[in-house]
Amino acid sequence: MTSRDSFLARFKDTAISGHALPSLEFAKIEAPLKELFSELLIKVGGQLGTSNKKQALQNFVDLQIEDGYQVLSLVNGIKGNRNPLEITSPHQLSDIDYTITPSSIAVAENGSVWIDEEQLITRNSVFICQHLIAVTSVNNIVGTLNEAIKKINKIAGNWGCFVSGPSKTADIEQALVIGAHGPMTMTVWLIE
Amino acid sequence: MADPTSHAERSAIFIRNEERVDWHSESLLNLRDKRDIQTKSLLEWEKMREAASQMKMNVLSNISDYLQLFADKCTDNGMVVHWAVDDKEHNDIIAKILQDRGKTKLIKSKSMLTEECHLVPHLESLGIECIESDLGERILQLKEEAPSHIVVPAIHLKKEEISQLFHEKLGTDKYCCDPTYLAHAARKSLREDFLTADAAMTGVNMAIADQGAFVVCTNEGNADMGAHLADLHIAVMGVDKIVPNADAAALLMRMLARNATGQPSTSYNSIFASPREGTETHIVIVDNGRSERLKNKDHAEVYKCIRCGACMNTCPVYRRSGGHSYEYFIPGPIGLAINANDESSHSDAWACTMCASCTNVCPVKVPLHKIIMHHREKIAESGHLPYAKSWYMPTTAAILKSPNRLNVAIKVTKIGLQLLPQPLGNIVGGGWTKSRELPKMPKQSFAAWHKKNRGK
Repeated sequence: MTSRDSFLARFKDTAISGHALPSLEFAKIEAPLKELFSELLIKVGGQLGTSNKKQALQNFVDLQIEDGYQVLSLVNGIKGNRNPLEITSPHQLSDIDYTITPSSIAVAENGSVWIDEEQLITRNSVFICQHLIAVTSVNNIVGTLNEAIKKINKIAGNWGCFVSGPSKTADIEQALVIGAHGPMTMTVWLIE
Repeated sequence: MADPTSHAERSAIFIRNEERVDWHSESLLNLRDKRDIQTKSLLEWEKMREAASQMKMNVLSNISDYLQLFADKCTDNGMVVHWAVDDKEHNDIIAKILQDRGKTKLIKSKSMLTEECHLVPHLESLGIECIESDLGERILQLKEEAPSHIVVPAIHLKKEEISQLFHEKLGTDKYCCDPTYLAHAARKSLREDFLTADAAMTGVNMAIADQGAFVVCTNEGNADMGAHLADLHIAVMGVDKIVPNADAAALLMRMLARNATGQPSTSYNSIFASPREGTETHIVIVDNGRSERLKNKDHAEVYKCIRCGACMNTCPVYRRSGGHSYEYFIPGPIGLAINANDESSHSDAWACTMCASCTNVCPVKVPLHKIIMHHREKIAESGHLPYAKSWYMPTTAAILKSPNRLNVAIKVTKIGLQLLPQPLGNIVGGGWTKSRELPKMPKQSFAAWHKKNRGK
């Protein structure tokens, strides 16, 4: 086994040296952020919730449950039919139809939302469901990913993901197919 | 292993079917067009390119410090870091991690590094089942073929071929070529593999030094699906994946998908900074020739590359010769550049028109065409020019240097082309005339015309 020190010694006299780290500050995107976010969310294959009221989302969830779907809600005030506290392994989620998760940041330039482990029961709840619903607020929208990353104060010791639309692939003749391995749909509800 | 044949001979296999060449070229140009729309939508694109280039130069200036910082922070975050000087050590480390824990089924997301190290055949020889989960990679695994592109690995295959393959391997309906139907059949089949795999492997798109975290970007969600189900996650990375901080990673996340496929973002930019509770994360950091290439100032900048593949999509040669026509496992301009000093057939350096389109679309300003040009010079200096080039290049140079010699040469050529029958001319023209006719010579040279009409 190569030790760290002997490995690093191999990179001591490289040909490139003396380059300082440049400024990594970039222009911010200003308002109207909500409009831009909504436009990009649709462009990346996502959908916008039909209302800015939590009750409307709960009504939607109730209808899905009536139709026999499995709904895991991790959002305060939204009640699904799966108890998050009973989940001890990600494999238990393989039959989940809807995951409803909070998101603390939304990024206008690419229609993505930041979903952090601290808001989840298990990381895979974002991926293994057939449909993903993220709940955030208009006030959480920032312009660019460079702005968003500054709002994430704790990456260390954690996991998080910028989710931009549903899972997709274009590996067969460049034809866009929605629903590769993760969710077939991805909806963002901007709750006021 | 080096293929003994030349780029032209390898291309000949692909270009037998002219219709396919046109289709392949159009598919890639489509990616280039989408990329242009995205990059133009960002007012600061050129500023971002310059910042990304300088940021990567800073990384390459301090690579050992950044690696050390990254490793220390990862350890603090509860991940285990391994160091592999070459492909063999990379494969041995991974095999040992898996065997020590009695793992028998590994689900992989796409990683060019594991292609570079031939990991899958090695693990399979040890009885460990490996499943590629990226749709393109899975198609190629079932077809037992190598990727022909680093981002869209099955770009050379038609849906009819994939339909036939899936019919044989996954039991899909014969003759049903609908991409949605085929992709969803793979989704269903791979879902079973995700749920039954006992270990997951991913590549790394950016390793954030000051956080001890790494970013994995996918559209399919396959890297996450694997890593968040199995209780063992092995992430593999070349040293060149290091970035100093989260701001730098965000910059590259903004550029990668835009430049690669013309999307504003990949569906998932997943940042891993610790193992999930009760599970293990191992990171294998690989050299495998990188430290040597970094010692050569004409070559080192290839490691600014973020593997977006835009240089391939725009390359007039790659688009028409296909990804399997190159000696190195990474095709196109970036593959030529990385492999510059190791290429054994002394022909791939000429799979380039010197149009510099690759350099102009590169998001981190790797001087691709200059590296390829330099590679040609090196081949000439070392006396490895192919026979024809070794005599006509110096002869052409001598002629072009002297106006008198040039005038004589033009006259001789003109007479020669008038007298020689085309088939004989083709022999003189060599490979160049295989699919081209020699030009008709004008009655008068420009110099003669100028002397007559504008002379004195």
